[in-house]
Amino acid sequence: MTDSFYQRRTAGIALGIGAITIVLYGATLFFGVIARTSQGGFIELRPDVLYEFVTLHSVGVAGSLMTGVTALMWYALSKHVRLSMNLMLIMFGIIGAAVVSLLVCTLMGYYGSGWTYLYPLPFKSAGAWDEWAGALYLLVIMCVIIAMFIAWCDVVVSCSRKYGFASSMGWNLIWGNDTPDTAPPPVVIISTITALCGIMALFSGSITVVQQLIYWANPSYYIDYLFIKNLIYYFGHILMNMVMYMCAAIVYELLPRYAGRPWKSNKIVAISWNTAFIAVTLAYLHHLLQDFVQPLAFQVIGVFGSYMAAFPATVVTIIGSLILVYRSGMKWSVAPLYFFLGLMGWAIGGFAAVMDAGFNQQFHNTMFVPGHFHTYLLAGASFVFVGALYHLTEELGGCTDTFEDRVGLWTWLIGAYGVTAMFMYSGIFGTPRRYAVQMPGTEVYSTIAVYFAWIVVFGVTMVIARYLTRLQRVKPLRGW
Amino acid sequence: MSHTIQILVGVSILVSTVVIAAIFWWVGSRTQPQQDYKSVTERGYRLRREYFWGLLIVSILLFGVGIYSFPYPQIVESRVTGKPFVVKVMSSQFMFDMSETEVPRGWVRFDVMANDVNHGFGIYKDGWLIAQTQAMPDYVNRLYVNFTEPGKYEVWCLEYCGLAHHIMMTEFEVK
Ligand code: HEM
Ligand SMILES: [Cu+2]
Repeated sequence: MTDSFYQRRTAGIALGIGAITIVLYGATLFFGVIARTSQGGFIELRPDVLYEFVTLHSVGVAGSLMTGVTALMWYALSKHVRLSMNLMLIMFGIIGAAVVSLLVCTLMGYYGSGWTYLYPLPFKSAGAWDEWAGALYLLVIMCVIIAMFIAWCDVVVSCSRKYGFASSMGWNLIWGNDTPDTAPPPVVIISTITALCGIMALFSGSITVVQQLIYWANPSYYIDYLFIKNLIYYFGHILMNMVMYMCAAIVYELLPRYAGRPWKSNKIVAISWNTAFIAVTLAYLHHLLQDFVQPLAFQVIGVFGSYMAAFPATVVTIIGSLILVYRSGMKWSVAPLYFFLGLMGWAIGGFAAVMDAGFNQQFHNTMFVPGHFHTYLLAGASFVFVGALYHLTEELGGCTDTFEDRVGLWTWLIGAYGVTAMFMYSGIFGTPRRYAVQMPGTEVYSTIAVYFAWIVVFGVTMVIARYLTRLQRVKPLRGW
Repeated sequence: MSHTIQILVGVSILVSTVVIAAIFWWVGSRTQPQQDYKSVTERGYRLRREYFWGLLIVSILLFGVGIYSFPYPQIVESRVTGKPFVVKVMSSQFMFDMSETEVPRGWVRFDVMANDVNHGFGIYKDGWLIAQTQAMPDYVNRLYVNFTEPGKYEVWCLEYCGLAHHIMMTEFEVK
């Protein structure tokens, strides 16, 4: 296989997966908007339908974003290491099975637990959905686990094969065996660390699925409630954080090309990403801060890890990106603007996340939580995802930005911050999350949010339409 | 005041968003004219070091305040004066069963349990969330609250538990 053939094909796969996932992203985002429109009182969904929609929305958007970002990280990596195209396609096929199952279990099986599937809710819904729907949902999670396992293993193996495991993890830089000139590029180090961190969480997730399926088959099977809750949050927390970390890997690779300056691996970058690995792992414990029976030391560690996670992210990655572009002479085409604004969303949402962990008694399971995670997903990771898609069409199709591209970006941005601000402030004023009908006296935030949500719909639709249009300018990718 | 933290965090969210956006805008609008990367990094790394120390100090302070205000029985028990009034709470889809619906002022201990799925026990006063804990089968979460204000309090479910989660609530009165 020649290099240019390999490059063309990986680009083609990334573009194709990008197109499918961004359409799925838009479609499942829409279910969240409908849910918000109902919470805001403009329409009235039955509670069961609303919870189904929220479940479909959260797993759908987060899942398609994760799949798309994985494909793009994989593309960014392909410039440096040789990854397996077949594995990527298999991974994507499994995600396809997950999407179909998700649609069936929510829309036909009325399944509506939200993403969390805390034991034993999938099988004790007080009659809202059948047990088969709960089991099918667990299989959706299992598909995601297997798909990500394949993708991440490929990353760890391919990077280690080329650079060695210790170099790929940045350890040789820390120990002084690598210099910035011999070390692998940041995209390799970040991807490897992310993949390893993610793989550990996947093991935890698979235990939660298997245990609950055994319970389904045999209801006398005993599961410790607190233990499985820990495993579920460890899995879910890491999985979502890894989406952001994969986005960071993409930015480290692509933003320098616009800035015209190198963003090299060095000791600080290596230390910071290894710190991030540890911090994000410890930080999952902040999801159990209201479980008073959890050992006290865990609670302290959970808060500690959350503050710790802010250090590598802001000190090294975000400030690094600011230094990279400052007086670089670059022009802001839409792609780098998305990267830049995506990092901004990460910073803003990250700050709120740390506050949530630090003062959890006041914010746990209030709308403040959807508030901060929508900030770094809707206005953070999603922007990096779109930025990378724009970059690809720019690089391979020679596309230039139009007025519509900018309209899409700015409407999305304005709408997103409106949506997240309303989530956050309603949470600060006590509104619980996951309420089909808002607590009396707190409806106004949902009502305002609806206007912004539809602005996002406009922006996202524009972006998807533009991406699909730009895609057509990419010359036929011969050889696949 | 029971909602000081909410107000402070609400303000800090606003301030941090404005500051972060301003920094990004400031840097983003200064990509021209081009300057030597080396001189930019020198200045940037100096600022970064200062930022690091600032973040460290702020984090340690906030971490300390957070740990000090931890609501866990191991910590709060040392502050409880006298014998707390005990209320047993059983949560189930979709109701709370409380052993007492009138409690005296002063320290009250809620022994919060569940008998089907996970629930949350959130105490509200005039729309403000003043305390919460999870309710989980097989475990008892002990929540201490020091009531100083008499009046009606509401309890809302704070862990998604199914279809009627949003109407799972009850009330009690502090005399
Ligand atoms: C305009 C854009 C969006 C709107 C209006 C929206 C709306 C909503 C609503 C109403 C909920 C339920 C909130 C509640 O707890 O009451 C929700 C939950 C959620 N959303 Fe979104 N969303 C949007 C975009 C996104 C994006 C881009 C992602 C991920 C990439 C996302 C991921 C999630 C997740 C993970 C949940 C949690 C579901 C759960 O509680 O189990 N959303 N969203
Ligand atoms: Cu409940």
